[in-house]
Amino acid sequence: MELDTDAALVRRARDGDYGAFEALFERYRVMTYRFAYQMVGRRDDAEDIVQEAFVRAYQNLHRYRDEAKFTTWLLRIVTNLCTDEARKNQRRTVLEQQEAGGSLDWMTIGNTEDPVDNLEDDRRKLALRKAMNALPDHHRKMIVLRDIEEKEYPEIARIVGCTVGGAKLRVLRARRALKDRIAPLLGEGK
Amino acid sequence: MDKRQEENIAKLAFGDLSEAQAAEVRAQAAANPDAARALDSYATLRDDLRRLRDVPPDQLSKERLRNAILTQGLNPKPVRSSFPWMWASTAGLAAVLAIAVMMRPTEQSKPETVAMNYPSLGSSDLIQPLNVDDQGLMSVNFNKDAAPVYDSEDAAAPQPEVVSSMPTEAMRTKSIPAGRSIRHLGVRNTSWEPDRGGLVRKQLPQDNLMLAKMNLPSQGPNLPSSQKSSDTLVLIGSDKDSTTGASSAVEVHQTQDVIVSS
Repeated sequence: MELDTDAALVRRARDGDYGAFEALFERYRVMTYRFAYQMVGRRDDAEDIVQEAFVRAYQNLHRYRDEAKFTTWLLRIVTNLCTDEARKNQRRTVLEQQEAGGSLDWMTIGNTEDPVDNLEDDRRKLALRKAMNALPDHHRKMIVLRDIEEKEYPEIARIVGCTVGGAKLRVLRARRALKDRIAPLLGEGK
Repeated sequence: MDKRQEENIAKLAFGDLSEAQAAEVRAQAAANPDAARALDSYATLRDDLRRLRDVPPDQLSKERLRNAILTQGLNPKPVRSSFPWMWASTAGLAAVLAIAVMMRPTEQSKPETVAMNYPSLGSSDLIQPLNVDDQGLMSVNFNKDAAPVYDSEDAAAPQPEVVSSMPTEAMRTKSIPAGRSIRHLGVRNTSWEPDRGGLVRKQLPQDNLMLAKMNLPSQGPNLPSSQKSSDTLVLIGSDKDSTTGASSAVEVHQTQDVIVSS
């Protein structure tokens, strides 16, 4: 239905219909939250990022060009905010973990299921999360978009602002970097 | 295993290859233990990443968003420059240029030497203060006793220059319209009789005086003295100094009303 498309909701929101903007928020809240969570690894930080992203989207609706997908535009805002947040949190996380002697690792791996039954699984998750956090932001972004959220390459290219071929190459490099980082954490040789 | 082969193995593990390409790479990996190990490693990584998809539920709400929008305002924040150092360097450059311009010597500050040959009037008592009559015309009183008297045949006597025009009714006068600017206007000299104010003057060749740059008052001569022009009038004579060769000149400080006699 025309009234339910992103473009129509954006137009109505631009015209002052705040309900239309809330509909967009409900539609893409989870998607953006998931992406933000994968990027920063903390629920509260991810929520703040999503909220800030929607605030900025609302404030800049007049700048949104209809030819781009709304989700692409929104994810671009979230990506930029995640980059800023990751930069700020990098040092903070290291200090917190050092201070707690590693006992705060559970905070960065989200919901652990049963730690007794899934010890190996948790160990791998923990190692992977550490490796992800240690990745440069531009690598982590590609891994999250492609291998966790399973976005298509053309959309990834629009979000990060490159060509499709460039997106494929970046994803490839990011995977290699992640593999190189996780191997020592899992005790695996090259 | 070369880099190209590893890239293909990674693409195979993450499902980025077509069926034909996948079969080819899978066959290569089966023949190479390192490639097989790499394929297994990438496949495990892919599975681990998929397990990371589980995220805790968020606590976002429309009310929270609405409060945030109302708190932060409906208008976008001013964009902060990503490169403040660029602005700083620009400002620094502008400051250096401004200082350079200020430190540059100007023409006005250059010392200027002007060769002037002022006539000696002998005694300071020679000229009395200027008088202005009701028509705005100036006159000068000369102290006849203080003025040196020279005989017309005395060739050795110095020739005093004209220090001021003294309009009298007997003289033919020509007034210059108000507001007109005169530059290098030729002035015919008039010889004055000794009994007209006591100035001893011999006949000078015509056009031997020049009116240097002068601005006339725009409202005519009958203005209050505060509104009259105070430009300096320089009368340049034809006499040359024997040593410097410069023309003699006389500077007159009162030019409210100028009458040029012809």
